[in-house]
Amino acid sequence: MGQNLNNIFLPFLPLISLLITADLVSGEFSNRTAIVLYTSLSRKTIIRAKIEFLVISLVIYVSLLWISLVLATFILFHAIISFNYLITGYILVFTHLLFYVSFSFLLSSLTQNTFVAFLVPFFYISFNGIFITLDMELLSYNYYVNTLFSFFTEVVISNNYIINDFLLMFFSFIIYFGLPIILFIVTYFEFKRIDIRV
Amino acid sequence: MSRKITQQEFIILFFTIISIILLLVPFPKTIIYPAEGIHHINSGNFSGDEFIFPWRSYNQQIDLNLTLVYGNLSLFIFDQEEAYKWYQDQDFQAYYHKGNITDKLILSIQFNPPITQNIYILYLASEESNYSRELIINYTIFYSNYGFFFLSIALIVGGRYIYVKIKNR
Repeated sequence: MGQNLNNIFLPFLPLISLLITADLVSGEFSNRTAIVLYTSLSRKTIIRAKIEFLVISLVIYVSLLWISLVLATFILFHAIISFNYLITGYILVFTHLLFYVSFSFLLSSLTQNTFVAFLVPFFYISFNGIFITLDMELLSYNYYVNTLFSFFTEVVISNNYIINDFLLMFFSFIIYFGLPIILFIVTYFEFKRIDIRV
Repeated sequence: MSRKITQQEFIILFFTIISIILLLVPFPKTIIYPAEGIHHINSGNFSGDEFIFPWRSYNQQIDLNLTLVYGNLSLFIFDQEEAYKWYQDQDFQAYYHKGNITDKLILSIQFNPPITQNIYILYLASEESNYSRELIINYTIFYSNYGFFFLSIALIVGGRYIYVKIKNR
């Protein structure tokens, strides 16, 4: 049941957050509010505020998802999910969504184009399988998602996991948790340099 | 006239060299499945080991050391497709098959030409059996995965570098 829910909902979760993010910076350029905004405040302040807004809204979004999950589990199965399952899942799903949000935010800021900011991450999510088929799975973020999800599932459920490839596991940890942060940092510093004349 | 390499040029060079090394230089790899005590299988049941020979791996070799405490086992080594056929009771072709094992079996198999498949080693008990096994898998591999990853970083940073150069010209 849990696996089915995971398979059904996990591909759609990033799309909802992408819808919010894609328009966040580029929207101001398309409806010309950028002229007022960027003359009154520094770019650093604006981009920092937007990153904070994204992280907070994502916390709220995942929290609402988790509350509904807890309620649904209680109503349907009369069961309560243990805290370590909830917190592990929360961190993993939050980081997963944070990657797509940061990727879309980077494109939205640097290209100032909503379609690019939405479509590139959308196709990246949709055609992740191609990388795995071509044996370039390290270019697919979903590969790290699957690796860490299976690792934490084994650790949390059976308290037993044999790491066959320590290097890959270490690399997966770094990329999974580090890449969203790197993308935000790149956005923060690159946005200061680009030409944003409207 | 000498010119200092900028930080960005250094990053591009570093990742390009790393990716070329990873894409073109083979590295030996050994996976050891240690003998973790004695396994028990009831009559008619089976247990097995599964591993994968990845893409661009060569000199593939399996070393198996199987010791039967008591009972009677059959050993099959086949790929995913043939394993499915075996499971469905269809005609299958195993890389290795030996029936009626009652004592000890030391086995070394080399795969030539190399294969890129999931490999299953299956122990099928024709009577209640206890066994232990040690499995060592050797191959040389080009770490194309990591190579492509670092190459993509070099391409992204390099692309930006060229874009800025052209724009500032």
